[in-house]
Amino acid sequence: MTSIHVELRGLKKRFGDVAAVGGVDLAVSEGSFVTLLGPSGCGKTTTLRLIAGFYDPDEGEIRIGGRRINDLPPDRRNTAMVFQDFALFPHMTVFENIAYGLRMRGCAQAEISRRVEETARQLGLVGLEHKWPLHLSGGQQQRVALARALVVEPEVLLLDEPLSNLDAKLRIRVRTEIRQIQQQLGKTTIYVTHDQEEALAISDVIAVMASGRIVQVGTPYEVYYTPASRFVADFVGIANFLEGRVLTDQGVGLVEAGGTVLEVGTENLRPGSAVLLAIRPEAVRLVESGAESAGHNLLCGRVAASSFMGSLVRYWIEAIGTEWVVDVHVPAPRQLLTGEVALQIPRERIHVLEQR
Amino acid sequence: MRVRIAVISTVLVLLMASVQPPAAQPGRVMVYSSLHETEIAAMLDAFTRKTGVRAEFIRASSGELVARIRAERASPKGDVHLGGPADGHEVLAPEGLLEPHKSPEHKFIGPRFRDPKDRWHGFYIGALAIAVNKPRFEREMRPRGLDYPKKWEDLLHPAYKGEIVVANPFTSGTAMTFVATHVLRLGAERGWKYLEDLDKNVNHYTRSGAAPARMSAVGEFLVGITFGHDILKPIVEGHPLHIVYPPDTGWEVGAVSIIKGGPNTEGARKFIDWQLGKDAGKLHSDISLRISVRSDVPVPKGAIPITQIQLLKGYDLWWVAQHREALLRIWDGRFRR
Amino acid sequence: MLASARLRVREVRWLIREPALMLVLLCVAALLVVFVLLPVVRVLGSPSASHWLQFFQREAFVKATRNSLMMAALSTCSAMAVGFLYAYAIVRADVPAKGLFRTVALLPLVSPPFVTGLATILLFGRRGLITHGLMGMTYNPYGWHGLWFAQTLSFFPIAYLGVAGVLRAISPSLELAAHNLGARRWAVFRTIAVPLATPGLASSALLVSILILADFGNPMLLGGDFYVLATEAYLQVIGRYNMEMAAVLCTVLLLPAMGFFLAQRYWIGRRAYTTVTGRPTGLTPLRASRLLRGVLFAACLLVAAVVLSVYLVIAAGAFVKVWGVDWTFTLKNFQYTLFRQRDLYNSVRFGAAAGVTTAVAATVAAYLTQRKSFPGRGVLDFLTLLPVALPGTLVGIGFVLAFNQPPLELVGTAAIIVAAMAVRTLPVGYRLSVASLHQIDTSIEWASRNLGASSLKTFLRVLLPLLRYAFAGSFIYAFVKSINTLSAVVFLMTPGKVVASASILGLADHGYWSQATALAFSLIAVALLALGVLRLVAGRRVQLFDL
Repeated sequence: MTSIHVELRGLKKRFGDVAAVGGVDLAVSEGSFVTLLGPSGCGKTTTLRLIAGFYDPDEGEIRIGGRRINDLPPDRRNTAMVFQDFALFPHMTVFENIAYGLRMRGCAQAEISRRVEETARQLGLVGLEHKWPLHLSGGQQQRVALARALVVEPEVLLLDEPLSNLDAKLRIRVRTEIRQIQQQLGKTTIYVTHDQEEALAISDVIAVMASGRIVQVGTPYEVYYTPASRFVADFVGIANFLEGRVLTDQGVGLVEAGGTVLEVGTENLRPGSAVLLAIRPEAVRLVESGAESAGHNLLCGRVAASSFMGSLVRYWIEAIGTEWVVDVHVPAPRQLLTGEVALQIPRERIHVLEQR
Repeated sequence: MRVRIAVISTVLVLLMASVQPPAAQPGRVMVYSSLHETEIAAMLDAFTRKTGVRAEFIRASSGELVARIRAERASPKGDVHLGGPADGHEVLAPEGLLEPHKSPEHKFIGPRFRDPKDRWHGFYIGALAIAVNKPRFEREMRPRGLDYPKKWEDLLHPAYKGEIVVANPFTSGTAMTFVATHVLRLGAERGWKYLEDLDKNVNHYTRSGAAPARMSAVGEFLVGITFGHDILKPIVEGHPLHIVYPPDTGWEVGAVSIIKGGPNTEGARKFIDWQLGKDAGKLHSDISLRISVRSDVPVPKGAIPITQIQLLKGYDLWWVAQHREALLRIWDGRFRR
Repeated sequence: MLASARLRVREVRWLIREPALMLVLLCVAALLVVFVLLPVVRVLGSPSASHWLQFFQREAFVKATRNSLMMAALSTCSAMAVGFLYAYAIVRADVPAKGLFRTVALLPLVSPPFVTGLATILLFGRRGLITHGLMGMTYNPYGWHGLWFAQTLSFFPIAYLGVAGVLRAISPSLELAAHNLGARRWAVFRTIAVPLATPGLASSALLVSILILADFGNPMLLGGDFYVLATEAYLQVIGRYNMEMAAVLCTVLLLPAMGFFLAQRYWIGRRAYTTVTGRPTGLTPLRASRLLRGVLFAACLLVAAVVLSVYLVIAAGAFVKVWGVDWTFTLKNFQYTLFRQRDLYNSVRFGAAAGVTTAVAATVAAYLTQRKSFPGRGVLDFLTLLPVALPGTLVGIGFVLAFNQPPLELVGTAAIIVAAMAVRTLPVGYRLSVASLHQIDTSIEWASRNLGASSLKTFLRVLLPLLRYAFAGSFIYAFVKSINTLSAVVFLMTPGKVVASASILGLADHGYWSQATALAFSLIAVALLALGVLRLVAGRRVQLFDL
């Protein structure tokens, strides 16, 4: 069991009448990569800035390594941050930007040179040391910002949507790099993003935030496959929702929804209670109508629209009164399905939410 | 980067240092003077060359200096009050604002040119005169049958309307002398009447006493009234000016005095001794064309010896000093436009 | 209640954490209180009721007030008219030789205002080159009409700047839209440009009128017996040392300026920080008719010719023996003014020190008010901008009243002259700094804090370098304005600490025109040199005087 490194307890911050952060509790274990994920305005960036000390919390505690740091000014927290707009000092060269934190820590010139060089090598910035930030590409700027944060060997690394200013391809490459470096260094990292795919790809733990609160904490798998609420299920990935009522619970849960009875994998359901079922688009199997269609959880539907997206085909299908989104990966190299189809849903892939 | 910061901060420090020298400049004599800037500069340079004592000055008209010395009563900033009619020094004497000084040079200066109590010391004399721009007069006045004015009353001729300039007695010692001259010459009632009549011809009252001479010299105005030496200067420079010393003209003893409690009274004493001396007297007369009170200083070339001028016998600078405030009040009431 | 108290505590927490910065804040606050607030309080507080009674009873003062108002009204109208013509021609009508016209308008802004007065005497005076020399007239410039002319010429560039800003802010697309709806050119001007511009024009006119009201050099030189409040106050100080009466007159001058300042601050101008420059919309404004452009061009040419002749006459006057009498070329005029007297040298070093003071104070104050929260932030902002509303004479008299006795006996030092200069230029420097600070994202500062720099270090190592052009701009602006200032320092001069602007006025007043013009010429040369250096250092990144 790794120890807890960063801990937020009952953290609150208001701006005027708006509660930006309304009571956040979070424990980040040593060396882990935690992502604060949520839509804009959910308080994730504010939380990060509270940790860095740019804002003073109204209530609550921030602990790093067990020590309460509420009263430490930002410059004494050793929580290097990579900013969304990189915030490179435009009047300093790449070298000077990276060296800045070391200078502030009073390192000797020789050590500064050595460490800046080392970090530059690590991040593939060799040869750019004497350029001006404005003359660099977005990806290069991003690396400089990362180098500047890493070189001071911060206790905690904070990243505030560091990829949002990069183009799509670069974003994927850089996020892999960030993850690799983080794992190499074993640095406790808190990452803020609104991009669920990024969060899933990069994190050890995801904390999903909404309206200033954390609504679920878990591994990417947990968050994706067992979302704690309709909001999480909807925000992280795409989900088909079905409202239903539990019929029986005898080893196999039976739920009546939209006039059909579905078997679900979840146990201990209270008969008679209303539930919400969440089914991921890729969990549904499409069977051509008229083909062999015996088995459970088989629904009849009709293709309303379809969209070819390269590695998958996305169908919008009318079935039992709702519109389903269904993704078919590795589509057969032939015509898209049209007309009547059958949907089959493996019962272990139906997630039961909001049991009442 | 570091080097640049170092350079910039050095420059800044030097700059600030140049503004405020660490210690107040010791040994400098602070001179308040109503002489001409160029004259003061030349005098002070010579003083410093001779004695090694440095001196700084500020120029203002003598009425302004009287007001300033009074205002600084609590902590005087000046050491020497140089120049201007003696009545401007005399008014300060009873108020205890002047420091008495016995100079070895006093034996060369007649008693009527200095304060019996040694609080001010005359070093030149001058008489009021009328400057007339010659070319303009010949062109504009001669055809109308006029001749150069000879006496004060000639200036009342309507032809001079808007063509006369003279200074304002509030600021100018020259103008104070001018006003007092007519009050003493004609008695209060007729004297003020004369000034009122003249007022109709005066274009405006200047701040500086000597300005009318320059203004008539360049022909801005036909007639300027000021001290004769201030008219002689542009004449020597080549300006076409006609100078008239009217009979019963007022006169001044130009004085110098020590301001009591100034920052450098010792330096001021040195300055007075030097200023009253023969060399300084000659230098001053030569550059200013003023006539020294010392008989051993020759009348400068181009100047008119005071003996050739018909001075107003009844002019009494002590009376003027005593009645200064009253005269100013009356003038303010009648001539402020 | 408790919550707001807690908020207060949080507001000042950084102060306790960063004692160095707290010290800086306290210094800035103390300086502002001592050098801005105290003189104003002394001016307002020193006259007694009897002084005020005198003011209303003495005809001379009532007359001076009337004269001041009349001069301000007349000159504002004419300066606005010329300024509008000029601005419309340059901004909208797209006349040829715009660059030349703009440069010409810069000249009165960077030279002492009374230079125009001096040139008026030399050009249009009774022996003036034009009135007398060319036309053989004997025109008497001493009085309200000569003053009117000089004030129009001195202050039209400020009107021009204001109007140009207003005109640029009106999107051409509005006019094009009106045109598109069938309005003819004149109708467009009448129904679109004029109504849209009116508030801005009114605001510019107020500003111009306040500057004219407070101006002192030109009435001194050209007024003759036409006294205005500023010269009357001067006379009260210089002639009588009646500081209380002078304070009364200054207070009368202050009232309209203060009213304007407060109105700007609280009603008109929440946009006090956005210099009106106008965004390029990609649309070119409606082109004026050929005839109109021709007329405007001719008018601009006339104005520019008059302004240029003012400066040519200053230059020429500096090199001839006796203006109007002996036109022989000579360098002797410079001998005295440049080599014997320290006036010009004093102006330069005091101006430079004032420049540094203003630039430093403005940058620090801007940083504090824009980036830090502390109790009294609004007050600090107010005090920094307040000198905009203070007539120079008031600053000078206030300084004499506040600093001529212990514990702050500073009159007689160079520092007090520098302080007066710096106070006068602080607001513009502050606005420059605030504007550039707004362009620097907070994240840059956070990044620095985050990497271990304290607030103070962040300010010095990150913000200051980024603000360097604003800093240079403030410095040069303060320098140029300071070497030209007269009214604020004229009462503070002591032997050895005389500045050139006062000397010029003195020399001109005594009829020493050649020396006066030589010194004025040198002073203008120094100012232009300083602007040239700024252009070299900062390129077009800093726009002083908005040209």
